[in-house]
Amino acid sequence: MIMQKFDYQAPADLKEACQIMANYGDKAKLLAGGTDLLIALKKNRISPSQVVALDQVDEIKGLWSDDDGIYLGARTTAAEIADSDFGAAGQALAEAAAQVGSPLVRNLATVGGNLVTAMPAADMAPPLLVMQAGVVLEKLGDNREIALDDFFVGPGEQVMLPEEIMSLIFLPELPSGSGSAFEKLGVRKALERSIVSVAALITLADDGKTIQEARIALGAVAPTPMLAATAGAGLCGKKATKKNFSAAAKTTAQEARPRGLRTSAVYSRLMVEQLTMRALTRAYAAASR
Amino acid sequence: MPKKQFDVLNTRAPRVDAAIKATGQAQYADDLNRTGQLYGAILQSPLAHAKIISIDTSRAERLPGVKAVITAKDVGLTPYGVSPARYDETLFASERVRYIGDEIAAVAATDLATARQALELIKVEYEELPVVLTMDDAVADNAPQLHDDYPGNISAEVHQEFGDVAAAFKECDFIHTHSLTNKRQDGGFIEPHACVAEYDHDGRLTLYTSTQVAHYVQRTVAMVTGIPIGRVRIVRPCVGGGFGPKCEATPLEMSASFLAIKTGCPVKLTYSREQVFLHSRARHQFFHEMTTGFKKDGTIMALDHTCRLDGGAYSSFGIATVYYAGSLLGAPYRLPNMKYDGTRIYTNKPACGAQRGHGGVAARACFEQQLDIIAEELKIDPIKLRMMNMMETGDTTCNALDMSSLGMKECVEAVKKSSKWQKKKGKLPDGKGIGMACGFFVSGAGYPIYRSDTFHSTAEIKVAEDGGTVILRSGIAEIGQGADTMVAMITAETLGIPLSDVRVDSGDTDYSVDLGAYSSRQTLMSGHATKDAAENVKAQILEVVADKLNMDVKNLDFKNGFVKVKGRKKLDFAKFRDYYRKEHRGWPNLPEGDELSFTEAARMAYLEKGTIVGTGKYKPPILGGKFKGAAVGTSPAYGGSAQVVEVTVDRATGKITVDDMTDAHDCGLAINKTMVEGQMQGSLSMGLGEALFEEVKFDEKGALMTPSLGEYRIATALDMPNIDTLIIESGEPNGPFGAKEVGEGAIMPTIPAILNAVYDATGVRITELPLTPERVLLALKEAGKNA
Amino acid sequence: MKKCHITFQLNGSLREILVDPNQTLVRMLREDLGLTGTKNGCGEGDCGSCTVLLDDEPINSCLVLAAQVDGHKVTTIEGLADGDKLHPLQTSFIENGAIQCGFCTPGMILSAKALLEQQPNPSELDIRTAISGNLCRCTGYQKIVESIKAAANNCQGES
Repeated sequence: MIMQKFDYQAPADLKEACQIMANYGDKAKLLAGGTDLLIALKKNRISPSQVVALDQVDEIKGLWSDDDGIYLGARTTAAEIADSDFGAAGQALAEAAAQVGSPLVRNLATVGGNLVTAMPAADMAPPLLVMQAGVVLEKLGDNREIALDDFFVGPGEQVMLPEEIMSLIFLPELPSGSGSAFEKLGVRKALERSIVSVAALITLADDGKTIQEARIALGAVAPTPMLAATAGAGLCGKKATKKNFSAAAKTTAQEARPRGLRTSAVYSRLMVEQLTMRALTRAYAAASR
Repeated sequence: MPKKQFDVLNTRAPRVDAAIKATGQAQYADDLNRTGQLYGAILQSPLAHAKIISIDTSRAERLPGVKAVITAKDVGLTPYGVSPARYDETLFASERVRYIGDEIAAVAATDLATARQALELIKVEYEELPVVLTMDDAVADNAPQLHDDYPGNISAEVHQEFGDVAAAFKECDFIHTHSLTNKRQDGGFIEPHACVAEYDHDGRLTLYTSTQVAHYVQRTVAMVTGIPIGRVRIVRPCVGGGFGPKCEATPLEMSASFLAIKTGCPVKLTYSREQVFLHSRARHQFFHEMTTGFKKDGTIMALDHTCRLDGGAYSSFGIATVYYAGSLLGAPYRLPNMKYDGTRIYTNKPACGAQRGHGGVAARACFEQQLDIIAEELKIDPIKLRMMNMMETGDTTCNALDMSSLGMKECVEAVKKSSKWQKKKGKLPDGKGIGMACGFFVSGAGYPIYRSDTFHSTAEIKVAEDGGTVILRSGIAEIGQGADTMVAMITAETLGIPLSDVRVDSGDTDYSVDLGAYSSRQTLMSGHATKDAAENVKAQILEVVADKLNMDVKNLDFKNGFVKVKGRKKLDFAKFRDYYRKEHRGWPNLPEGDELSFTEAARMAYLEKGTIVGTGKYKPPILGGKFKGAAVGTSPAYGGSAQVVEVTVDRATGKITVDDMTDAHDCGLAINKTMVEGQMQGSLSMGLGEALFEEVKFDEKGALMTPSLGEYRIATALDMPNIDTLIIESGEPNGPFGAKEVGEGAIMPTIPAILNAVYDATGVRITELPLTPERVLLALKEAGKNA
Repeated sequence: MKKCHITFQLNGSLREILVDPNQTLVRMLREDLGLTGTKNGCGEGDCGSCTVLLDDEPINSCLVLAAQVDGHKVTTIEGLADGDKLHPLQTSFIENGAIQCGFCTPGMILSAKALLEQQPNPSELDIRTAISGNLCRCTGYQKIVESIKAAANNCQGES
């Protein structure tokens, strides 16, 4: 496969990258891990005049934290995230990152790319949604932070302006007693796009039994990754019991909006219910640790 | 048969091509580059069925860098195909395209980007025709017709009856009907087709190509280009897998040839992965319905079998496929009465052809599932039912297949024991299941695909002038299965020399005629031709030795690289050793010790007779029945296998995990044990993929929905369990040193063994493949057996 | 389209080359540098036959632009043997029957090399996970897994 012609730029820092994006706007495409962009270029789905590689933009790589929470550079690879310790509260994210494509893909693919391409099945989106992630979008002389829940618009669409660059993903500090888990169903055990994916996060009250807060997010069962807000809210104040989880899983299945593309909507909903049950059960176990 | 002692055979010698493949030195077709090479690209139809109103190539021709544009106008409309009875293709469509991907034109340019750009400048005006994508639509009244010569969209029909099925049914206590549908497959080889064609001003065409059958490519290219066969040379570099779809001449090869002729420059053409799917020629989709009659003691009496195959737009190997789908049920169970009605149907999709287990895989999956149903009905253990009806060496099937050796019972016993069947069957916890199945396959088609008395394999062995290295030249197809190593080992064993002294040069039509890598034929057929050539060389050398040393040739032989003498007489060869050493003064590693080496003996023969060259040949004797279609399924020998599979079924998601596989295969004699195991393990992984994941899908316009190895899912390392791999050696009288097939027979039991295990785990029979989580869960739900 | 001038370490040697911006790493290796040991099986990151090590990590070289390796280190299958001395993984693949058609072999060996450097004593699951992006249609993976295990054991024995 041959790609059409374009110029290649490799800005040295975020400022230079923003300058290039300001100059070229939608004629430029950002290259992070390349696992989606190169395929889009090869298949002539896009035809930018500039490809702007973020390889040298070190400000947006890696993980660091302060009292407010964890900062995740958008250019951080899935492999790096899979190998990181986010504690019980963030284990869903590491689990999801570990199930992206294959080791070869994980060494390239980035968390920012996973979000920006806005695929309904993006593996890392559901855990980031339940962790209430915010994303920082930079442009020349300005930046804005928006909640990930407000980021996605539709399949392949999000709110970014052509000149914006996702620089960071911010994960607010979660209360102690939080635990999360990620469940993915695919046909094969590797190199697989999710049929359904579910992330769940539970924060337990001091008694270790009452759910103080719960959030459930879904992949591949709606035009975008989505929070199942009703189901999550419904668990608040309830005891962490099988019965309550089961009711929440049923509600989650109702909240899903499967389009019946790769599997029937009936099956997708059934799987949302199953995987939600499993994710809640494991998130509870993690929260209890 | 008592086992012979071998020096080279029956070992675990490393493959002769392993080192170059481990280091990146191995050259595959796309790795080759010739001086002054151009790059080609092929224009393919974007419509599944349309009339071509006009083709305008003028803008493409004017694009700088374009050296040639060819269409049907340039290359003619010589019909070709696989079987001369169905030459239903032309290189380029001139009036009509029949599937998305049908070839219309080809371009050669100085670089690939220019060639691709030129394709976009070719203007084709179409008039769309109604599309038929399913078999039901294709055979409906007033259905759009694909080929004028084949009315009703019927590509081929088979009607056979052996014995009297209706009469036999009357004697049966039970009659059961079962059906199964698989899905269209893809070969899934990792190397896409590629080739480089060169044409010189002496009128010689050389085509380097990734093929399983250089001989068929040579004949087809010669026929379509009109170049005499002696001036068409096909050279097969390393091939990155074939599994069937690389058996026939491709539009890629013919386009490259015509472009090389037209430009006078070498032309390289490589399929993209999507084009591999568009070319297809892989396993058909089959709809099988089988009605089997049996007695209450478990005796199988009769089978009434109908099958419909979705062939796609052209015939490819499909004529053989539709016959194989019936004939390969003749064994390994005693089945006195068998009726078969098969129909292959044209649709506006890429053509299907041959793939590992040609024609028999879906049929076997249906029948072996039915055997389990019968066993359950009769409350007999499924293994016992199979053993009761199992054929033995010397049996002949109702369709005249001669089981000259058959280690099926040994295979079944082996897997039963090794899998601990008796401890597990019926005793596994809920959601876990165990299943078994058997299968068999030909060791080479008894007849070539074109009607001919040709030898199926010839070989040439030459001894280097120093006597130290033996060079085997053969047309055989090393496509990964180990053919080069197999012939090298047979050469070494036959000549009595170490394997390291044999060099194989293969895959060149200038060397010999060989029908290549399909129908699991090379070990038996090319192995025979190789052995014949090696025996010829040996006789020539020993004759000179006997004469020079004043011995009776009957008392001389070679072993491990030295001359062996029967009886008490000692060889007096001092004069010859002296002479050899003088001839090679200054050389390292000169012969010494008290035995005359093969090297010295071969040098002696060279000095006496000139270059020592021996040739060998093989064709099967007249085999099989006299009925129409008897040629398909007939073989000099049959391999057999039995498998036990254990699965876990997640009742909540429908996801199946294959936990364990036990496989026993009767290969007659394992020329190379490691390679036999490799064929078995590879077969099972392909079968597992077909059972669980693989499906080529099209949209309502006939466009591929699964044009990548991401969408078309073959098994990954995480999906495959380890396989308990058991080799059974029955000793085949018609095979070289007793050897027969392993490459395809081993896939036969895999799908039904998985299906039977899933039933054991869940109590639900699934009759449509692949067993995706959704299909399984919905089937469980329908039966009220989901969690 | 401005060509890119890149400098990178290739199999231990510094290379400087002008590449087209739209050239992928796999095509640069195969076409511009003649290193055809890296195979091109799908072009979409689905098969792993183009696996090379980029800064010692295995990646799909069909999903990387050649220009991106500027300043980095690339190891291909041609860079594994030390003169005529094969890498222990190569020897193990040869001796244990891990190679059939050989098209996936370079990628498999490189994925395995990266694994063994990080985990000298991997479990079977570690091995299968490490090669799960490298498709093989010939072997069923079993002898590949065994070869990697054997190479790990040999390396352990040596150290």
